[in-house]
Amino acid sequence: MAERNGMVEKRGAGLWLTHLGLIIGVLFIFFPIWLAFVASTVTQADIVRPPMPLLPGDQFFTNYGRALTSGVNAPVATMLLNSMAMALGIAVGKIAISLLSAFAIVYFRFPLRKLFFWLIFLTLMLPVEVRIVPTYEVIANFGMLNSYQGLILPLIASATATFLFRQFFMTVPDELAEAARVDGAKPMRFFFDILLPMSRTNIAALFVILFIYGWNQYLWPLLITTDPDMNTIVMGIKQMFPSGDDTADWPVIMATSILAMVPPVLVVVGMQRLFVRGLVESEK
Amino acid sequence: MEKRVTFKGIWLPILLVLPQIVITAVFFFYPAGQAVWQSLFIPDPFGLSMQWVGLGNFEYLFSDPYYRASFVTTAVFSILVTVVSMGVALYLALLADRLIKGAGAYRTLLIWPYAVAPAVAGVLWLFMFNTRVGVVSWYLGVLGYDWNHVLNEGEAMGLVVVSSAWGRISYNFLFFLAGLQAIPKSVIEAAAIDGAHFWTRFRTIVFPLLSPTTFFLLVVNIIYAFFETFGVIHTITSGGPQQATTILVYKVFSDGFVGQDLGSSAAQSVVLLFLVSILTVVQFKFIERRVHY
Amino acid sequence: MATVTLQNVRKSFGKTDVIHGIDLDIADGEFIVIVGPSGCGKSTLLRMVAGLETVTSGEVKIGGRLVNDVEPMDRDIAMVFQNYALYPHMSVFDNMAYGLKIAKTPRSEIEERVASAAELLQLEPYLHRKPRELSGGQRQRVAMGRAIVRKPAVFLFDEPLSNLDAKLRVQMRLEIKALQRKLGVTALYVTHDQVEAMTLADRMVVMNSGVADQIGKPLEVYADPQTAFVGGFIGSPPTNFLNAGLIPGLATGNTIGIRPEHLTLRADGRLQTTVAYTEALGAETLIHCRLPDGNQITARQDATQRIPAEGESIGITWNDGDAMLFDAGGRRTGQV
Repeated sequence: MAERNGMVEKRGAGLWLTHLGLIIGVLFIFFPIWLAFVASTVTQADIVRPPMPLLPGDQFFTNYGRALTSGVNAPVATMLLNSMAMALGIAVGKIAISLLSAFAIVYFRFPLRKLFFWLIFLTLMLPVEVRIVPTYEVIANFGMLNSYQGLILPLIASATATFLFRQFFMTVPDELAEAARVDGAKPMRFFFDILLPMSRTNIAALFVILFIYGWNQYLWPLLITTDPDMNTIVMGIKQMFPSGDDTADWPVIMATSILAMVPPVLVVVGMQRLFVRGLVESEK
Repeated sequence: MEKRVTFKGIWLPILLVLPQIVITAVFFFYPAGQAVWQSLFIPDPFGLSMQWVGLGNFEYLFSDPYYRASFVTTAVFSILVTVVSMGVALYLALLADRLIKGAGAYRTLLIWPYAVAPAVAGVLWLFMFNTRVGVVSWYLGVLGYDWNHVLNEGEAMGLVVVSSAWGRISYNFLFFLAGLQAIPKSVIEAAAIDGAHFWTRFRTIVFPLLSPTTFFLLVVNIIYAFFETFGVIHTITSGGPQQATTILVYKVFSDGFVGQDLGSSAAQSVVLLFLVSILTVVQFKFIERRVHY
Repeated sequence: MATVTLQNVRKSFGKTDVIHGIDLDIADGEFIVIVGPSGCGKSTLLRMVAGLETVTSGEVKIGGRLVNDVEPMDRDIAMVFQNYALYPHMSVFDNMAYGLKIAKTPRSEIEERVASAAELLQLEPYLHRKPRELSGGQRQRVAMGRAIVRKPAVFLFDEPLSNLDAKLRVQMRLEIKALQRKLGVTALYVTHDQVEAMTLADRMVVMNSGVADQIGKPLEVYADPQTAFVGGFIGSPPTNFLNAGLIPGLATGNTIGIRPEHLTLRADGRLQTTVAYTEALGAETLIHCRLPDGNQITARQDATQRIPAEGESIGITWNDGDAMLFDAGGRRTGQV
């Protein structure tokens, strides 16, 4: 290895400078999170008399306990549950409808196929933020304000996943479907027995991306969840800041911020390889 | 590109696309149509009837200095976020690519802020720069700089830019590193044998070979800065001070939901729809070209 | 086991006709090879028998039953694909058992049938492996195993050996033949390789641009090609074609074809040539000569005979009975 790259690879001081540069980068990325973590383990008094300490204190269990059970407006445990429902709902829902429609579009020839194809792909990349007021009205008319359906449904109306699955299905050799036909498999049998297991990696990678997408939503839950018990954690943090001149309850807010990061970070780190592959491939 | 092999049937495939078609129609096409429709009316003061104004909302919109200012704000904000996050990410990716050992470890350390929501990133940076308790603002004070993004427009813009760019570095780093690792080492070695130094190699070989990745990230980051940074702005500045950080998406929200000016908000949605369509077309052209490689 | 009958079978894709009416009667247990260059329509014809392509007009019968509108699975056929089309996520066992599972065959019978197919194909040690963990030859065997367990009336092979290296191809060719004999199943086999066709076929169908130029036993087709195309396609090195005008007493515009092994080098030949280059292959030698009109002609002789030097001037001759006469349209009109 060293031989092969010897020509270009830096040695000695150069190598250490490279590491130094990267470590500074890592510190820049980490510092805000570290500070939030420290703030979530000290008392309010430690924070409001700046400068606050840079090493963790002993209030970890107190602060997190307070956040999870009572929070400021609603217990953070409830908000975590809502976020989980929303993220899972979006990830699973979007993957399910996309798999089905991509299967139909790739493997069948039926009337209006081209029209459906374009209807679906027109939605590619048009974020919910653009049509926010009328979408809000639709949800309100359906009585879906403060509901999981309201949180989830508008966000699965997008073609990214359909597009990815279509691309993948096109690469599946024709002979596999023919072999399945000769073996006597009907379309749905082929879908469940052959196509779905073959798509495992794509599904998993997409799941990571969509889970994070759903978990990190902000504007949409802000609009349609007026009931604190339906708040998601990411939007709920802002609601914890007092209006006016009151001092914010920083330890609890920072504990909540850390809690808001833990599930998506675990998903990203735990499924790093799938995620990197899925990200780089799906955006191609 | 079409499959040679297909299954027979008409109702089954229609049934299969139906869930997506229905959801798309109800939650995408109908609202988008409504946005266009509403943008042509203004409601009367009691909200009982709508009055047709044609393009009046748009005329009013573009004659509004705040809206025009919001365009400039959005442009400045998007360019800064894109340049800062891509610049830092490219710098880190170049360093990591020079390592034989440890590039993977740095990748693990650098990717996970991707999982941090923009709104949460906003809270973290707000905490550091809070005018009363912020650590960074306190040390700036010690150094004799009086930080106050609540009053100072430039500082407010700087803070939302850095917060937005910070969360995006991971994503760009991943793509740059993948792009760099895809460049054959032999090409770089050949240049080194030819006597090209690091900076020359980067300028004449690495960067041109990286240009597809760079262009892709440029478009994606601009789209990110346009839409997904709403959470950062809302948590840190709420568009202030004096609308200095009111980007277009924030204005749709504040005019439509806070100001209840539906006609104007709908017209703004249509403008955004138009902008995003242009970006999508650019993106598609790019995907097409890339497929033909 | 069954007969297969094609009656005036045609296929068009839109306005393009790819199969121009083919008649073929396949006897029970017969091994038929369809051979032709790529794009001649041979795979399309096979896929019509399989039910993977619709039949534009004409009739396809399997075991006397008209199957034009019957689904592939109900045709009592099994197919081996060029790229094997193994299900990548299933074990060898599951690959072979899949069709039986769909047909709701009892578990014990599935196991029994897969076991006996695996034994026949020497796949027993690999039953729990995934296709990607197998070599090319083993994958090929699994594909055949998947066909065997169905106990079909007809085997369909679509260029099954073309993804294998040369040595393995010869070995698998013999195995396929032995297997088909042992099971006594009717087989329809598509290939572009005339050696495969010659060695495997009871009868072969030589296809050219959507038309069956000749149907017959391999040696008959070899000895007595009905068109210039068949004469050129079957046999290696290919038949030499000479302008009949070169030979006294024959009309120009016609062509005569002579196989390399029927040419003899002699000082006083019918035609005077120059040796361009020679290839000594061990048991035999190929001698490529240039005719006065610039065309090349290839003779084949035993290794025991003298090899002429390159550049040497030499005569070439043949027996009248070995020269085949073709008209301007490439049709065989008789012997010289």
